[in-house]
Amino acid sequence: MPQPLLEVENLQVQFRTDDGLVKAVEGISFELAPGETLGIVGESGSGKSVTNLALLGLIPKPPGIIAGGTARFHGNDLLRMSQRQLSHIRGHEIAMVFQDPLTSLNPFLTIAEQLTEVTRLHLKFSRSKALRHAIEMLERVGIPAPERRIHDFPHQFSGGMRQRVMIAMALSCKPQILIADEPTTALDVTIQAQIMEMMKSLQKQEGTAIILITHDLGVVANFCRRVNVMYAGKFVEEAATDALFAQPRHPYTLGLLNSIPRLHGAGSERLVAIPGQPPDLIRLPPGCSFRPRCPFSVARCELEVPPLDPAPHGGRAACFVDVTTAPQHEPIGEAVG
Amino acid sequence: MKTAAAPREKFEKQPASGKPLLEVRDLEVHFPFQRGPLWARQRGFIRAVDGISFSIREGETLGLVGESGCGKSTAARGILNLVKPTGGTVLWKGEPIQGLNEREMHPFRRQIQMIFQDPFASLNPRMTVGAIVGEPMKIFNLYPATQRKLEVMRLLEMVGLNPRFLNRYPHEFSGGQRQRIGIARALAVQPKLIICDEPVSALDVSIQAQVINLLEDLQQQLGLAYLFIAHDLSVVRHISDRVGVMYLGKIVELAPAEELYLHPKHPYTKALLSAAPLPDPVAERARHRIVLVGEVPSNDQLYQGCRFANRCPIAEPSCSLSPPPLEGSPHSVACFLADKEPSGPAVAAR
Amino acid sequence: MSPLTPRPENLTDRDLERLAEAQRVKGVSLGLDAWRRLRKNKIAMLALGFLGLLTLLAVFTPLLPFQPPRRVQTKLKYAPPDPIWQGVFHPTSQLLDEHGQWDEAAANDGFGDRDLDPFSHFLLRTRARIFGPWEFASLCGRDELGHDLLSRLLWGARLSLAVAFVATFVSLIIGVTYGAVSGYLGGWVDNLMMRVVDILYSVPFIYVVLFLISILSQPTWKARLAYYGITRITIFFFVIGAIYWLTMARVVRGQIMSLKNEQFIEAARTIGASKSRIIFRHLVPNVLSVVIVYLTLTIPKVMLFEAFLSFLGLGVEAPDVSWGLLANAGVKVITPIQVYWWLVVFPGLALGLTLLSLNFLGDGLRDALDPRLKNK
Repeated sequence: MPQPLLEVENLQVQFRTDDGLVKAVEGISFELAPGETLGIVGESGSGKSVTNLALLGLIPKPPGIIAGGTARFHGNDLLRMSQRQLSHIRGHEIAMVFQDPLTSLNPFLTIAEQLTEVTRLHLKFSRSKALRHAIEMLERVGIPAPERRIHDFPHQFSGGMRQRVMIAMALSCKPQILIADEPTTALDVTIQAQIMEMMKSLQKQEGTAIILITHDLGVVANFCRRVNVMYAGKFVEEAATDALFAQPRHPYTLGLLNSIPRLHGAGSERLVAIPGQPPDLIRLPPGCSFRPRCPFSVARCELEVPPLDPAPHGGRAACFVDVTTAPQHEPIGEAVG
Repeated sequence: MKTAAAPREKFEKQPASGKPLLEVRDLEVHFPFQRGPLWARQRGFIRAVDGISFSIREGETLGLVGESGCGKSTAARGILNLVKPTGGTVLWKGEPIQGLNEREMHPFRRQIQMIFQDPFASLNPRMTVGAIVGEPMKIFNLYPATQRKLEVMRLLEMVGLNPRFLNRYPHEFSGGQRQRIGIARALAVQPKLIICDEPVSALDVSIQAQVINLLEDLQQQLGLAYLFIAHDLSVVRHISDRVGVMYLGKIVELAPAEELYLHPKHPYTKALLSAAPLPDPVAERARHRIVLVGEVPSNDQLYQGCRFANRCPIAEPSCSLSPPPLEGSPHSVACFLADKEPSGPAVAAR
Repeated sequence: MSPLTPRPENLTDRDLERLAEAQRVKGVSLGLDAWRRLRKNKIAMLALGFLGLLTLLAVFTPLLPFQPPRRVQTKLKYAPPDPIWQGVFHPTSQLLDEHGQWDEAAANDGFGDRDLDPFSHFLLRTRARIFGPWEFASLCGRDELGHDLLSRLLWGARLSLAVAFVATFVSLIIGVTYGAVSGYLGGWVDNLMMRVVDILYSVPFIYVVLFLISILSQPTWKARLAYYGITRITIFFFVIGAIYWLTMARVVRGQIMSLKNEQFIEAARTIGASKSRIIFRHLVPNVLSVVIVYLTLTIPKVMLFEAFLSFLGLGVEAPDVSWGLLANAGVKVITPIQVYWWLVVFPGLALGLTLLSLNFLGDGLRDALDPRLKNK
């Protein structure tokens, strides 16, 4: 395995609120190799976005607190850098694409002004060189007639086109890592397919490592080599994509895969839903956070937090039982509502 | 059955034959627009829904899929007269209801209900759950006050919520629970048809399945018909008996669900199906993806021919001359070239 | 019986039990939630406390042993504040005659008893019964006619606060209704209604007020109005309220316009809710938070306007007292030779503190009600 580009260890992020301390991220660790695509899958509130905001120093403090952990990037700890140091890295070596392309672009500036800003700032390009570069980037993300469109304002672009602009902006400085937070969630399927195809081919050319954050297992299956499944602020399973989808080892992953209706194959049988609601991050249940919703739970699950240990599928899973053989029962958690 | 504590009544599912519950014929919803400066003012119509026809029988689920802007939500609002249709007819059990004013529409509001997309925006944040679910009964004067409360509790129980939470407010519930409250409100007047406008797209994956199962259970118990509108192809396939695919205000293909997904005929349907990501890495790698060029064009212009022609991978020049009619039964498709290509999801075009 | 026909209220024990159980679960409304947040804001709570205390004091002023606000004592003209160490109470009241009986004439001279409302009248009598001849010393000094300033401040607060609250309430009712109807109906109705507001905006109101009040001050008009029981103060309330509803209507209309496309409004339409039900049951409660914040900022404006009019001699007239009149009196006596500082400082302080409190409270309310800070 090559030297990892980014090494995150035991990251903990918390938020102080009126109601109590929200433990948004509770000790997660992962490595990212150069050129690799890592998926982080989780539902809303699982902490997947917070993780990546923390890496880039974008957690508002207060109320946010980085309670612990390190994130090594080229030998430096991202979590301990000053905002000044981070601003050299953000957009330059680590870039990001957010879910909502409408709010991530400034409506009062033309695309040209926004696209050239990063290269002029980080790569010290001259105005004309930055503009040429920006046009080239727009062309590469598949915007027709870029030399004309570049002087348009964001509202003159459609949602898919705006997301392309965001990707062009993110890739302008040839970053080593691209963090894509739900990049296609706001888009239609046919546009999503376009964007994903484009990102794939760009990644091949540039060798950028990508962290793809999403709730959509389909997107992960299509795009990522390795997946981390996140639940209530922790990684509960981590494996190569094929292995994870073929034989999930954590009850939550299994439940997720069972609960999505399929496009092919038998269609009309009843879905197997995960009962209950995700836990309140202020009052996490003792032991395993998934226990109240888990059909496999045993007595031990309430007493200890299962560690993320190596699993038979070559990855790691945080579960005491073997989901392939363990008996199932009704989850013990409180009823819905 | 005089008290709410009695076992809930089962509705007899009507035979699928006979008169359809809802019949929509050539429904059109056009919005006038003006744009440009005063001296060069352009006037025209946004043809959000441009002549769609379908029918729903008792106890049946009709799915409507399409991308954003295809007019599927506007069609739902047109049926309910939330926006006034500009053309076509909507028949409820044979009785025309299109364009009725609020007073004339009132009796039909008990028959057709709606579930909304956003569980955060569709409940009044200042009202308690009891008031929200009880409001339709109050408007239709269904029960005396105490009885109404009991009825609300019964409904909450029915949708899987704790009936004791009558006095709680929407913000004290999670997204999935709020969607259940919305469903309970729709059920309050015992409608025959519920229009579900993207009811699960704002929910998390694990909660989606709960809500879909609930909708299916309720259909079984109460004999409801659904018009299920969504952009997620797999969800629509799962819940629908028949599925219509919309593109730019038109239905381009309408067929029984299994048939449509196994043997899509319209090139747009094929592209949609191939674009949907599968939660299966092996299948993902194996399949060919039809990546459509360009984006959905604006629907403010008149189309001579097929609306999909400029993005269609198999279009011929003749496609742009006249509009293709929606033909065939039970698998109808609006494409001149539908039979020329072998059908099936594996057809690829780059 | 069809399940949909109204059933008689024949409830089983189990039903009652279930209802009782549900009754025990209390929800947290958005208002309660906001109140909890407001309680953490010390400055806002302090301001609220001050305003509450002031209002309470103003309401119960007749009950407390203040000196008669209208009692003229030329001998004590411009007397400075009595030092506190010489005692706070003095047995100097003339409410009771030498036999300890209620002195009708003295009460009328000192308090304007004949014009008082029955409630204040009752309070005043109760006061005489409780405190007898004892009354507060002149802790804030006296003015040119020897009126006790402390007492006049409190009696003035009654009028000033009443003007502020009633006028704001009038503007609230007109503004919210007008704005909500205009915003919800939209189209040409909205256009028409808002153009009316625009036209009214362009009218220089100060002249309208001058005009109205000078006409109504003419004896013939006064007599005619008095016949119907309308005093100048009543007119004053409504004139000010009628001015301030304009902005309220605009604020509410804007809020309603953005709210009316929310899904819960569409949901209300699909369950057959009538227009008035949608406006007053669904829309208005949701704009109330903005309205409340705006109200706390309107009240100071109204109070200042009252003070301004009284200052011009167009508002409250002697022998009635208001803070505006008191401030006016204070300014009049600023001369290069002799400064009667208490006549300036105390009315100014009362007015200033109240306005400041209202502003702090408004800020606190805005923070507490702001849904963006709410963690959903």
